[in-house]
Order: sequence, then structure tokens, then C-alpha cells
Amino acid sequence: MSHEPAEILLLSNGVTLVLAHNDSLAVTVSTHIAAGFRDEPAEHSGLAHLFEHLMFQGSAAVEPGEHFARIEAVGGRVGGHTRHDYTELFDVVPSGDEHLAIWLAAERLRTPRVDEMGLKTQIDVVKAEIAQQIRGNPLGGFPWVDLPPFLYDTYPNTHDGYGDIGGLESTTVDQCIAFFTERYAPDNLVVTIEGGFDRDRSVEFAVDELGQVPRRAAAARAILTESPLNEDRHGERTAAGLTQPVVAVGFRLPDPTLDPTGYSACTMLAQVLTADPSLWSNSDDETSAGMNVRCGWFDRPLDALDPDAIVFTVGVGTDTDGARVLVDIRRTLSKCADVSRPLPALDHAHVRRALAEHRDNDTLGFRGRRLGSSMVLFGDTTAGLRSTESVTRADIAAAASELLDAHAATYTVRPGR
Amino acid sequence: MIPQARSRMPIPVVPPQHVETTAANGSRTVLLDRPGSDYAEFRVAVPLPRGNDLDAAHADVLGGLPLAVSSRSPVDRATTEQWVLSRNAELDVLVDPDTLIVTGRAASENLCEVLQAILGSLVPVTYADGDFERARSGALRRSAMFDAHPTMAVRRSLLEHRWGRGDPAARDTAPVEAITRVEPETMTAFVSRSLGPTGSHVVISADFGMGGCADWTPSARRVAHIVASWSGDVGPTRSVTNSAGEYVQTGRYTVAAPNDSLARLRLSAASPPRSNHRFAAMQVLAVLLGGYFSSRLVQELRELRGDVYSIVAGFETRRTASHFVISADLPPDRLESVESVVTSELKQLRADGPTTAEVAAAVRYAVGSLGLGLTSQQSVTHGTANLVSSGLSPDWWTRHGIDALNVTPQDVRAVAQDFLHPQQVLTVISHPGGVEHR
Repeated sequence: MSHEPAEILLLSNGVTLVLAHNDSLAVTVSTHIAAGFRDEPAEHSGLAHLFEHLMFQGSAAVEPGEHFARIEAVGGRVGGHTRHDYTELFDVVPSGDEHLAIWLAAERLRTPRVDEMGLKTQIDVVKAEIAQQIRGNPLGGFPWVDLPPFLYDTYPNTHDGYGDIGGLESTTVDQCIAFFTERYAPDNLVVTIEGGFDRDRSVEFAVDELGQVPRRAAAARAILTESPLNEDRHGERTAAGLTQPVVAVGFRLPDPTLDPTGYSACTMLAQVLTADPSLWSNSDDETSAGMNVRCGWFDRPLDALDPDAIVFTVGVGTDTDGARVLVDIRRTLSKCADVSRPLPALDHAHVRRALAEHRDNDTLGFRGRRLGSSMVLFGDTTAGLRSTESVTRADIAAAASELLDAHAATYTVRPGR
Repeated sequence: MIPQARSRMPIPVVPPQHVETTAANGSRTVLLDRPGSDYAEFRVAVPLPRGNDLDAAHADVLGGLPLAVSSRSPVDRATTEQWVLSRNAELDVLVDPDTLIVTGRAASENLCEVLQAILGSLVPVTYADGDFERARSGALRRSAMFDAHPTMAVRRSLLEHRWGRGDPAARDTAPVEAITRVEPETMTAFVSRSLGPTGSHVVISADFGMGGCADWTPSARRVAHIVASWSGDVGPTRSVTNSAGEYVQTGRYTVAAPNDSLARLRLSAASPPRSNHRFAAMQVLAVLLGGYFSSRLVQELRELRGDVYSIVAGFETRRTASHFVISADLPPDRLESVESVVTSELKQLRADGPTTAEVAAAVRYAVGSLGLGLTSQQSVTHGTANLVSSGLSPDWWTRHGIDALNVTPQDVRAVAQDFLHPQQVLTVISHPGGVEHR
């Protein structure tokens, strides 16, 4: 499938419209809001995620449940996520039904329905979500909930997106409306239309509908700056239903805006470390065999602002802990830091990239969402798709050296009660 | 003004142009045309015996072993991966659980070479020691995890009550004890008597150049020839099959889960198979009950009461068995209320059936989402493979779409009465404070 370059329009009220046309039979309409859980106030931890739920409760012209009913009536899919630095809401519909999705997106940005009944129910739903996704699963939230309190020091970076149940339960309608007014302001909004749509008609319709979102000032984003770690830190918990300990180790990544080469090299380094088990094989007892390494907390590089993390995860024996795994990691990083040592996994890096791109673009809704998240995070639709093609062996060696010089955080989950 | 959906009713689903054939070696091939695609998506499925614990153990270890795609012996994972990548391809091997599935994609120009290598690799080989040990350790870990994980405990109980303890369909993983008995030599024997073309199928989506009609183009013929040349027939090694209802135990059972923080509700009933004309009505029932966000259970239990984060009604389909399942994990204090709503909705559907509007909405979603799913090359390949494993062809989608459009509230009520009567329903619950009742 051929993809035309994305077109970007800035509407007079500040909303950014991204258009990416191709010959698909589906269209994704996504809204990205420059407000993730790192932006929520400490006294309302979990509010960004709760508000994502509230955005599906309808609007002045849309009854509760109607958004889903209308999209599902054309066979479409509805979804939303709250990430570290953005919230995304999206609909995927068959080509020809994009105006419905555009209208629904615009409508809830103009007049969201936030009332006592919807708020109370969605607080209960979020509590049930936490119970199911985090507490009801031995590795629920591992490592994205567990590790940040050890890798960082400030509230925005250490707390997780589900927040505190007590705080959530005391959330009021007025607080939700204030959050919407400040955070869902037009300057914070990127709406992406991607797929097989009629370009001219859709632009006219989208500009008209989204242009009606009232202009207002957006609140300043949270300050995410962290001081460097001055020591390695280790955390641990137990979980029922686990058969072996699992360890996660996190290092902070270079800032993708200030040091794009360093960030891309770390992305490549993560691929090499996962793809080549032989790099781990000379550990004394293969403690770290099966190591998985990813940039970004949700397996997706360039999906958050700085600070972001490169995360190593591995299942280990009962006598092993995070410190021991960290020794293994540093031993392996020093091999990668030796520029004279060949890394066979690099030989087919371009093939892996091409296959991953094909896979991603074939996943319904993926490309539209990725264009929107890149735009809202970095002001550039291509940033999230930034290629690692130009990364050299020397860049990887430099990235490995940087990590060797840095302190890390580890978190171990052990079988228990 | 609210934009109206393009059409009030979805157009019946049209699968891609395709050709299919059954070769003399007993394998079935379905080739789907995907004009303009640079990659071929493929799925090779080989039935595995799973009639006893030892067969199941061998199957589970086999799923972790590398394929012998290159001529190097012993076979090792690194060489396999390098060979595959050098053909602009990637492979994934899994056991699910009575079928060995090789799935992946390859640059179109390398499809024949990769396919030939995959089929040629399904023979007894010698594995590098480390790889064999890793595969066995992986199977042991999965089995132990299955025993320990609360979700798996309720699942095992459900499957054993539905299909009978020891039945292949109830063996999601082999017992640890059986896996420890798997050795390289016994694996060789298992492979030589198990892996062959009989009963296997190959589904590929690629640019076969069919144009507007389902013709055997030269590239399609080349692929079919490779599958037809696959040798190594192993004879009748298929596992025991069950027809729905044969082993069914109904009633309500509780699994004690003192270390769990959630209650887990599973409700199972027999279902007509996809080949049956009543399946469309059963699917519409599943959709309107808990198969999409606008369904009764999701709206009532999540959006009105906030009792659950998710509750799902649908089908679990395997090669030899399938059933209808309602599933929810929830805070224990909400269990009574949730079970009561589920029971009451089923009772209402049996007594009065759904409304005409409900059926129309569920049909629009069922048919429309099917069409949307077929826009993805991976989805169409995997969806076709699932049909083929049930003995159906891609044309089933069109027939099913038409059948669904003709489903009436009376049809849905009738399947509710015939398949969801309280005496036919199996309910398994795990609860932190539950008293075991097996």
C-alpha cells in the first residue's frame, strides 16, 4: 500500500489537523491530546485516565453509549489510551463513514458530557480496571508501574497512570471540567484522519466541525526534569501465581529531541540485545538468557517525552536479584561498547525494520494513531516513525558506553503471597 | 447535524479473490489474492496428537524448537533466524494446543523458497543441545505457570467440566511430569509419526496477480505445487475428537482461589458449529449479549453499574471442539450482582428474545466489523486459516454475512432456548473466599 506524506493544517482556533491519505478501505480518525498522566495534578492522581473514560460518555448532542452505538453500527472500532504524555481517542470505520467519526470527535471536544452519574460510574469502572489489570494479575503493571519510583524522583515521573483510588473517589465534576478546559484546549489537540477518505470533502467537513471547538488557553505542561541518579536503586515485591522471579532493569534514555542520534542508537541497541542471545551467553550461569530489551515503557520507542527509559526484563532463578542481573547487563553492554566487536544482529537490521513497518501499517488504526502521537509529542508526524537506518556501529558503541556510565534502577517480582 | 452512516445496512462481506485445492497428500491450500502487496502472509497448520499427556508434552516442547529451514545440522535457533532474515522473512512457531502453527511473512519474491523450507523442515532432526533444553524449560515454565495462575485455574476447571478431564480439548498445557520425560530421541519419534501433510493446511495471502477473478495464475500454481509435493505422510495420527455435548457436565462449580484478589466468572454452553445454519443466530446472540460495547452486558454491568471493566460473550473455537463462553474477572464483592444480571439476561432472551432494533444493531456490527477486519492482510490470512481448520472456505464469510442479515429476533430466541437453557449451561467461578466444589 502506498502512503502519501501526511499533510498538516493548523486551524484558526489552534487545533492541528493531520491528513494522511492512502488506498485503504478503512479510515482512522484519532484525537491526540497533549495531556498524559504525567500532566495530572498530584492531588488528582489518575485524573487523565479517568477523563479518557469520560470522553466516551457523550456530549450535548450525543447520549451516553451513543458514540459506541453509532461507530459499531458501521462495524467500526472505538478505543482510547492514556500514556505518559498524551491521551489518544480513536475510531476506525469503513471508508465512506469518516464524516461520522470526525463529527463525533469534534462534538465531544466542543461539549463533553460530564455529569455526576457518569463520573460515579466511570470511577467504579476504573476501580474494576485496576482490580483486573493490576491487582488481579501477578505481573500487572510490571514494570511500568513498579520501576519508575526507583528510576525517578519527581511526582510526574514516579506515579502511574491509574493513580490513587482514594483521590479518584473524591474527584468532582467541577474538577473534571477544569481539567478538560485547561488540558483539552485547542492548542493541545491533534486530530488525524488517515486511510482511504475523500480528501477535499473530509477537509472541508473537518475544518468546519473542529473549527467550532472554542479557543482558550492551555495549561502549561508538567515539568518532567529529573536529576541524574547518583546510585543504583533496587526494589522488590512478591506476587501470588508467579512461578519464577522476574527482574526489570531501567536506564534513562537520551532526550530524543536534544540527542536524536543517541536515542536512535539506544533503540538499535535494544534490538541487538534482544535478537542476539549469544551476547548474554558467557554469563557465569546464563542468569540473563532470554533477556528482552525495549525502548519505551509500552514497547514503543519515541512514544513519550524525556525522560524515557530503556527497559530490560528477564525471568531468573530464585537465588538471583536485580543487582546480579545488572552485573550481567553491564558485562553485555561492555561487549557492545567495544566498537571492534562485530554485532551479527546488525546484518539484517534493515530487514527487521521493513518487516516491522509492513506489520505495523497492516494493523488496523496503527498508522493514524502513530502519526497523531508523533505530532502531539514532537510537533512532527514522522518523529515516531524515525528510522534507525543511519545508526552506525560506532553510534551503538557510544550508546552502550553512555549506559555503562549511568546508574540504573531494578525491580524484582518474586513468587509469594 | 449528525452525519448518517453511509448505508443503513452493511453490504455482505466479500472475501478476497482466492483459489483452493486439496492435494493427493491430504493437505489443503487456500491462496488469497492481495494486489499490490510486497509481502506474502502465510499460515501453515499441522494437526498434532494430544490424546495423552506424553503426546501433549511433546507437542508443547515442539512449539519452542527452531525449524530446520537451513541444511545445517544440528538445527539451532541462531542459524534458523539468520536464514529466514536473509530471505526478507520472519517466522513464528507455536502450538495452539492441538495444532502446530507456523505463521509469518516473506518478501513476495522469496515466498516459494521460504514455504519450501518450512514444509521441508517438518521432519525429524537433531537439535542443538542448548535449544532443546531451552524449549523443554520453556514448556515446563508454561505448565507451572498454568498451574499457579488464577486465571488458568478457572480455565482448566471450565475445560475439564466441558470436555471431560483428559480430553485433548481440556489439555491446554501438558503436566510438568510428562514434559520432564521428553528427550531428543522421543521427540524424533514424535515428529516422525506426527508431522505430515495429511489434515494440514496452508493459507497464504499475497499478490498472486489474479486480477478480478479467482484463477490459478502461474504464481499460485507454483505455490500449490510446493504444498502438493510435501511428502512424509504419517498416517492416522489425529487426536480424539469431540462433538459438542458429548462430555458436557453442566451445573455450577466453584474453584477456591485464596491467593487471588478477583472473582472470575466463566459460563459455557454448547454452540452450533459455524457450518450449521443456526450459527448466524447464535453469533448475533453472542454479539448483542456481550460481543461489543453496545451489548446488553457491557452496557448494564460496565456503563450503568460500574461492576466490571470488561465482560465478553463469544466463542472459543478449536480444531476439534468449540463452545460459547461468557467471561468476566471482577472485584469479589460484585460477583453476586454480576451473576444475577447474566442469569436474568439469559432468562429474558429465552422468554422474550431480543428486540428487532437490538438484532439489527448486532447484525450491522457483526457484518460490518467482519468486512473491516478483512482489510488487514494479517487478519484475512489468520481468519481464513481458522475457517479452513473447521473445514470451511473463505466463501463462508459471504454466506455467513447473508445468513446474519436474515436473522430474526425469533431465531435468536430459539437458539437461546435450545443452547442456553439453565440445565445446559456450565458455570465455573473462582473466588478468594470460595469453597471448592468440583
